[in-house]
Amino acid sequence: MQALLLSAFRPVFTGRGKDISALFSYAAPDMHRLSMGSERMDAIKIVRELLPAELLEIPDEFPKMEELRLRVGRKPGIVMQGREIETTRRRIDQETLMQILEKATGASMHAAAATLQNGFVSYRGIRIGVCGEVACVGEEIIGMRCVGSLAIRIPHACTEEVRAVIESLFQPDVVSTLIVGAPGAGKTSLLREMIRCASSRALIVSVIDERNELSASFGGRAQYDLGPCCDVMIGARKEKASMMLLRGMNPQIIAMDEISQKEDLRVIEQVAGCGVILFATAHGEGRDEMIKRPLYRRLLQAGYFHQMLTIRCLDGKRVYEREYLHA
Amino acid sequence: MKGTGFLLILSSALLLSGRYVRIQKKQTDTIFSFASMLEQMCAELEINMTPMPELLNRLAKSTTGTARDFLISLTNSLSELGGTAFRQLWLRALFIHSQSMDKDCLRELTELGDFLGRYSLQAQCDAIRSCSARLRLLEDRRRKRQVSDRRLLTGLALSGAALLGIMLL
Repeated sequence: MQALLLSAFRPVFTGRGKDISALFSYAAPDMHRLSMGSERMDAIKIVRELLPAELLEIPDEFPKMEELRLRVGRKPGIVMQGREIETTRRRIDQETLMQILEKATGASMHAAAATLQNGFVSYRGIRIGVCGEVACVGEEIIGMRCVGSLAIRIPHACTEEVRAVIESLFQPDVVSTLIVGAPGAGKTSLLREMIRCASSRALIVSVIDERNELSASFGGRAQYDLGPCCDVMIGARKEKASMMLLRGMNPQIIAMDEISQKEDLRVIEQVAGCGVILFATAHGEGRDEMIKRPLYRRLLQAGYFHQMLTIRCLDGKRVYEREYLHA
Repeated sequence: MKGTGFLLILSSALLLSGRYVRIQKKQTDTIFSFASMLEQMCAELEINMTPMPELLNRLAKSTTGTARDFLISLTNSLSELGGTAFRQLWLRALFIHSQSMDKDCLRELTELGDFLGRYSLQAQCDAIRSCSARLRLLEDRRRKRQVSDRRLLTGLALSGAALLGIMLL
């Protein structure tokens, strides 16, 4: 069945009507907060919730899995240490993908149309990349006609090692930090832990969470523990959200995921210009590689960030490199 | 004795016709409650783009009769999403309450289930609007027919009973 997911996105809050959630099992879903310590196990549990019964029989690979890739007509693929391995399960059909998307959106593709245009949907902090045949009007993508593959990403575990890295990053003081790494290196998980640590130090942190991946908010409540002093703006683009946060929430720190386009540079300039500390992530292999790309060259030369943390995967282990960008 | 027999025949004939009329009325009311629910659903979707679980909750609060029971059944089954397609959950909830439904109404609602959950807002709203319009038409037709049916059945029951009574007496 073809799904045409249109573009219009409007807020869904109305405030009308009494809460009768007690009557229904779905209206009051398990709203447990995902603790950072058991984050990975929780994430695996959430992924298991998403999958149909026949795909749940991947017991051995699950704990080590970084991504689960499902493509129509192919067997499920598991990404571990940056490489995809095909499993021996049955081939995936489109109905299975649609059922996973139905679960992820609560049978509400219309409500997820805005993120679907950007190629993903979020389900309780799990990002599901969606690929297929897009529907266009002129040059504008208005939706997805037919879903061909899904990439379900599983957040990385936040280990003691990561916490020690963050503690060292916050010495002698909390400063603007850019986290750099290849896709799947664990940038978002580290950023999330940085937010929590800063927030726990009584610093007011505002989070621009375009994909609801940092907070995994559900019903206005962040399911990942982001600390006591954290405000999250979900779903809005960085340029809009930053202005709203600067005007309304008076943050000391603004955190955002994935700087990838020139509009993001303007946002960073704006935030830094207001004297607010920035935490952000970017795809890259390190300073030498990033400086070759015009966008990141401008970013690094502008001096908005005081330090850069590069995450590398060497021999299956993560290596963290801290680098001061400006004295 | 014959008089009592006559009275019994008369009352059972009236009861039977009354029961038929009541079933017809209940089915018409069910159509009405579903048509109203769908109109609300369409408005809520167009104005707020409300996600399905929240939408069903809200509708159940403001709906009455079979439509409300249907919405509660459907909402309770939403936890099965992922393993079961939404249209199958919709279908299952419909069949739980199909006894009080006219078969045309059931067919319309079954068809609507195929359009919900996966399509664009516009496509869903169009499908809901056209389904509710067809249900309204069905309801109108039934209400008109109901009046004439009631007269006809009461007349038939009375004349049948009278005929039997004459034969008995």
